[in-house]
Amino acid sequence: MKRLILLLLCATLAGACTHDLDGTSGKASGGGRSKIIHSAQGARKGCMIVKFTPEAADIVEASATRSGIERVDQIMETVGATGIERIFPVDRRSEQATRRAGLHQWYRLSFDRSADLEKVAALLAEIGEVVRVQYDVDVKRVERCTPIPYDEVAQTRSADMPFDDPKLASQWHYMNDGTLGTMAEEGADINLFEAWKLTTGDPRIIVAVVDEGVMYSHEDLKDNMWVNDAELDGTDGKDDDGNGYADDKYGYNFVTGKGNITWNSNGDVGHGTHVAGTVAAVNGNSTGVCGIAGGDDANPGCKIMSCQIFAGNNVATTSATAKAIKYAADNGAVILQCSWGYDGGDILSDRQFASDCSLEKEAIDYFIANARAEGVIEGGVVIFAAGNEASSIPGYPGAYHEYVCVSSMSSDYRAASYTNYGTGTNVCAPGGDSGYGKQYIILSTQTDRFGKYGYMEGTSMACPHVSGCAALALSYAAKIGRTLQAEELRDMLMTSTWDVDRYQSGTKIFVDQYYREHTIRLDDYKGKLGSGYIDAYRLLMQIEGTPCLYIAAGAPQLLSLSEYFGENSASLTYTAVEMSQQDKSALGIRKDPTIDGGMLSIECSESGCATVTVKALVGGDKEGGAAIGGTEVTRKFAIVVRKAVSGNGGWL
Amino acid sequence: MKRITLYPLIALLAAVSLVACDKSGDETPEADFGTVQVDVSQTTARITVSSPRVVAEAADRTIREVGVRYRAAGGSEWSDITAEKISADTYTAQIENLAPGTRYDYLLYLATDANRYYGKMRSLTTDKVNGILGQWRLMQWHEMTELPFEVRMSFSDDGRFTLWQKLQSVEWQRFEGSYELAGTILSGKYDDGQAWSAGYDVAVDGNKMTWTNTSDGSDRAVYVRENIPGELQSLRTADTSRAISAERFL
Repeated sequence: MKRLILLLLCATLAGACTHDLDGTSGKASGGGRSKIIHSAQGARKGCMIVKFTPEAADIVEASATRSGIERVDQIMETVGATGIERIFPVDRRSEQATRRAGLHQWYRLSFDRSADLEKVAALLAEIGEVVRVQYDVDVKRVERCTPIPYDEVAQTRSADMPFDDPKLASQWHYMNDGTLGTMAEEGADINLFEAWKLTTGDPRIIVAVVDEGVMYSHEDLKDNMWVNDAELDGTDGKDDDGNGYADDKYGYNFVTGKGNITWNSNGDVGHGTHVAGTVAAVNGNSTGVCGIAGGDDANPGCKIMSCQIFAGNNVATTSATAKAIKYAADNGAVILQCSWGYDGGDILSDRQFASDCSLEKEAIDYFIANARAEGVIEGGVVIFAAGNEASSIPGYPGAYHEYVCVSSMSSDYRAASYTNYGTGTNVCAPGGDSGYGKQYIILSTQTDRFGKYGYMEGTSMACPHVSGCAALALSYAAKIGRTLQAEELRDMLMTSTWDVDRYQSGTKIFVDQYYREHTIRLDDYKGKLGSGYIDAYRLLMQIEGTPCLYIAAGAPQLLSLSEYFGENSASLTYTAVEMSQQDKSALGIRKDPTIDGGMLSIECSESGCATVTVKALVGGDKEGGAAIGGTEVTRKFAIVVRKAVSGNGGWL
Repeated sequence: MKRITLYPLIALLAAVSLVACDKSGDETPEADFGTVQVDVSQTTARITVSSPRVVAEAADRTIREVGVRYRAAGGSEWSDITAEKISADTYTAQIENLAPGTRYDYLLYLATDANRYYGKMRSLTTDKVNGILGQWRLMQWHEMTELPFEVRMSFSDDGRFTLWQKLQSVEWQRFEGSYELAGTILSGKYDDGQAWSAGYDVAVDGNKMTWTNTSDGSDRAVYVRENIPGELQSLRTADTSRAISAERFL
C-alpha cells in the first residue's frame, strides 16, 4: 500500500553537530570549536555565515568593501573574497527592532568556491570578534509528493453547506458529518462551520506561507493574497517601499533572491498553493474550495503572504530561510505557517536546536517578538508540521517548546499512519490518510499544472488547519476588539482541543519513502498527539472570554479544567496552581488548592471572587530544554464562590 | 410610590360615615376627616389628612391629635401612629416597615380632650413588586465592580423572571422561572424545577436595587436598571442547553 509523504523535509542537517577542528587542518581549537554550527557536508560552496560581536558588527557596517576587521579581512583575502553582506537587509521601519534582536550582527561572506570550507570556518572561529560561524546549507527536500487531482465523482455528501463554493462538500476536514464514506466518522473535523457563524476572516490578519511559491493568480486565492501596493505600483527592479527587497509584490522568492514568486518550476508540486488554500481560499465566490479564514461573499478573508523557500528543484539556504522568516514579521504577517522541518530524530533536544540552528532560531525569535497586527496581537505565532516519518519523535523546529507542533489525523479520529508524534507534539489536525482513499485526504487549491484543485495528505496539510484557525481567532479578536499577546494565542491554540486518545486502537500500515511497509500500533499514540484535536469553535470561545468556575463554599470541590486546557486536560502535567494570599484569605481557603488527577481540588469557606493561575505542560511531562519536551501553557480564570449554588448553575 | 387621593366630594360623602367609635369602628357620626391622601410604596404608607373637624353637635370640638390605627388585614393587633401637624389644618402620618405586597386595614382617628373619633375602616395594599419589575444588570457583587462575569435579569408582574448569565460559559445562558416575594424576601425557582440557591432580602431604591443573600450577609449584589439587549431577549432558552450540559462540572 502506497503512502504519500508530503512534508517538505530538510535532511541535510541530519546529525548536525559542533566540529572539533584545528585552525590549520580544518580543526578549530579551544573556544573556537564551539562557535561552529553545522557540517560542511552539504553546505553551499563559496560562502559562510558569521555572527560578529555587536561592536564588530558596527565596524563591519561602517566599512565599504571589506569587513574592517583585520583578521577577518586577512582570511578573506586568502580565500578569494568576493563580498561581505548583511544577511538581513536594512528595512528602515524595523531596523531598531533588528538591532535590538542582534540580527544585524549576522553576515554572509562570499569567496572562491574552491576554498576549503572547514578550514575557513576553523580560522574564522578563532577570531575574537566572531561569535558564530555557520555553514550555509541548502534546505533540501528528501521526498516528493504527487498531488492527486480533484475528482468530481468522489463527492457524495449532500449536507447543507454555508457557502456556495462547489467543492466545499468534499472538504470533510472542516465539517465531517460521517456521510463521505465508510472511513469518515461524524465529528472528526475542526468544527469550522460553527466557528464560521462568528467570523470568516479579516484582511488585517496576514499569514506568511513559508513554502513553495503560492500561485497568487489562482482564481480561488487571488482576492486573499497579500499585496504590497508600493511594489505593485512601483518600478520593476527598484525597492520602492525601502524594505530591503525589490519587487516583493506578493511576498518574496528567497530561493532566487528576486521578487517574482514561482510555482510551476520543474519539481514543484503545488505544496505552497495547497497550504495557502487551506488557510484562506476565497469563500462564497461560487468557485472551488473554501479556506478556513477565507472570508465570505461580503467580507474579505485573511491575507496570504508567499515567502518562497522552495522553487522546483532549487531550495533556499539556511540564511535565505531566516531572511524569509524575518521578512514575514517586518511586512505584517503574524502567523508563520511552516509545513517543513527536520526529520524526526535528527535533532533531539531544544538545546541542540538552539545551538545547531542558531540563525534560524534567532529569526524565529524575532518573528515571535516583533510581528504585530495593530490592536489585535502583539507578537507572532509560529506553527510547524511534526513530520511524516511515523516517528515517535517530532521534527524540529516544530518540536521546540515555544512553537506549535502539529501532528496529523485521519477522517475517522485515528492518527494518520505517517504522522510523527510524541513528546514535543502540541496539537493534532486533519491531514488525511490516503490509505482510506483519495477523498479522505485534504482537498484544497492547486496550481493550474495540477488542475487547480487537488488532494494532498501529510502533517503539511494538518499544519495549515492550525494556522487557519489561528488566523480565524485573530479575526474574531479584531471583531470584538480584543488585543492578544502572542503567547496567549499560542496557549489558546494548544488548549482548544478535544480528546482523541480514546480512538487510538488497532493497527495501521505505514509505507515509508522506500515503499517498505510498517505496522504501527495506534495504542502507542495515546497521549502523544499533543493536547488533542484542534477545534475552531472552541478556540473562538477562548477569544470571546474565559469562563468562571462557579462553586459552592463549605465543601471540597474537585473541578474539571477542560474548559481551560482542552478536553484532554486530565492527562496533562500541571506545574503550578497560584492564588494570591489576599484572594485565599478572602475565600477562606485554608489549604492551598492542588491538582489532583487533572482536576482542581479546592475548598472555600467564604463567598467571593478570586483569580486562579494554573500552568500545565502540553506535549510532554517536562518542558523542552536539555531534552525534547512540552510547552508550558498558562491559563488564568476567576473562581466565583457562594454559600450555595443552584443545581443548574444559575446565578440565583 | 402610588397615590390615592380622596377628593373633597368623596370626603364629603365619606364624612357621613366618619364616626366616633371604638376599635371596632362602630359608627358615631361626629367627625369629618376632610381630604385624605394615601401614598403607598413597597414598605411605607403615608396618609395625609387635610381640614379634619368635629361636627357641630359635639360639645368638645378642639382637635388635640390626629392619627392612624392600622393592622395587617385579618390580624388581631392594632398599632397606632400619631400624625404630625404640618400646617394649620393638615396632618401627615407615615407608617414604615410594612411588608411589600400586603393588605392593611386602617382607621383614621382624631381626638379631643374628651373623645377619640374614628373613621370607617379602610384598606390599603403595599406595592408587591413595584421595585423589582423591569430589566436589570448586575453592577456590583461583594463590593467588586470589575466582575469577571455578567448577569442580567428581568422581572414581570406575572411572577415570572428571566435570567441571562455569562458565568460558567463565555456564551450567554438563559434561564426562566417564577418568583415570590414574602415581605422583602425574594425567592424563586427555575422552570427546570431547581430552586434558587438562596432567598434574597431585596431593597429597591429607584434605579438601583440591592440583594442580600439571606444565608450569607456578605453575598450582596447591586443591580442597576438597564435594558436587556435585543439579541439576548431573542436568545432561546434552548440555546443554552448545550453549553450547560457540556460544561457542567458541579
